[in-house]
Amino acid sequence: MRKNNLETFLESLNSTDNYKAHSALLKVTTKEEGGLFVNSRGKVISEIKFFRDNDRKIQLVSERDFKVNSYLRNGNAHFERQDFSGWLSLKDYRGTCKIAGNQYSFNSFLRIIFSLLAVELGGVLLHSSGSCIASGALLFIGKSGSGKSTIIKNLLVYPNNRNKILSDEITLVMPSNNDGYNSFSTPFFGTLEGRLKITSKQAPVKKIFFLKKSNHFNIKKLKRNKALERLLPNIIFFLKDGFFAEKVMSIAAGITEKIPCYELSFTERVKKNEYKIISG
Amino acid sequence: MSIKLSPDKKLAWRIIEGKAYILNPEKSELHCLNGVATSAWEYISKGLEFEELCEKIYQEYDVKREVLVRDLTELLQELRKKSLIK
Repeated sequence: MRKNNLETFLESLNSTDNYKAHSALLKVTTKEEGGLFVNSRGKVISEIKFFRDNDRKIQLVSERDFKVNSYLRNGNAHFERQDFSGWLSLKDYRGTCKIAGNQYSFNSFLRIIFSLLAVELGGVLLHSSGSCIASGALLFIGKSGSGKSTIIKNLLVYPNNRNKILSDEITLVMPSNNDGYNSFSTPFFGTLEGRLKITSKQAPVKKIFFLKKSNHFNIKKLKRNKALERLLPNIIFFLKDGFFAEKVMSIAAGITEKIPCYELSFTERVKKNEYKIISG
Repeated sequence: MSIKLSPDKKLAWRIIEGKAYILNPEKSELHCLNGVATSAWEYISKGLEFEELCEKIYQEYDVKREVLVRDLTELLQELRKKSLIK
């Protein structure tokens, strides 16, 4: 019998190298009914139930359908969207969620849980692609269409960079033991999904680039305030809560203090000398 | 009676390189204040009343008092409109 998209996605979470990297934060396993366990330092989420496709057909058609309503009530984080509804206790990390039985809904829900746990542990999920060089990871930040996948594809042609991709869409940045930050691969992909082999799982963050498509190449070092201004809108976080906003602000301020940030204007092709400047 | 000014408790903010960056999680908005507004924001966060705020800024900047009062009134209106202060 042919597997549906959701089953394939869940299997891939558990079986392929592409997804194993995210075990730095979470470990996802499945049960017969689509149960989900999330381990983070021994903490567990359970009782995740999926709607079967036949039970509830979901069509997300307008922008409003994709809007997540999230709030904190009695120590529980609640997340609601047209295709899922659930809560998570911030005390013991247990909760329940009902999700439409398709890959996209599950993927979106997983992003929410990832983003919350990341902030709880002092890190963040970033709209960024990532590439590893010998000395660490280069993160390329930007919204959809900013060139995150393009720059990664560009860098792949250089031998030192081959097969050292963290992600083309979302990376996890967590504080490291040596007062810096580590970046990790995540199970979330952009336009290169299925075409990109993720072999690099983590690396210390060396530089952060904010992408700007242009007809010429240019790198400009950003002052810390400008870096913060650019970084905050690219942090993935859904919970509308003052306490967590303070945490996110604190993490972003820490990242911009410790990691050099640049604005990178680039063209369709990154030349060899430009690659040296980027990775130098 | 003058009312003490204060930032909304749900906000997160930092002053970096002389500018205040204010994150409003309710609206998912990031606000950036210029130099004078950042000075005002620092005093607002200390719970000053409007008259005290005017006096502090008047001492710091070379500005006519009536211009300052007008500008600070406009600033506070703007901050209230954006739900940044009470």
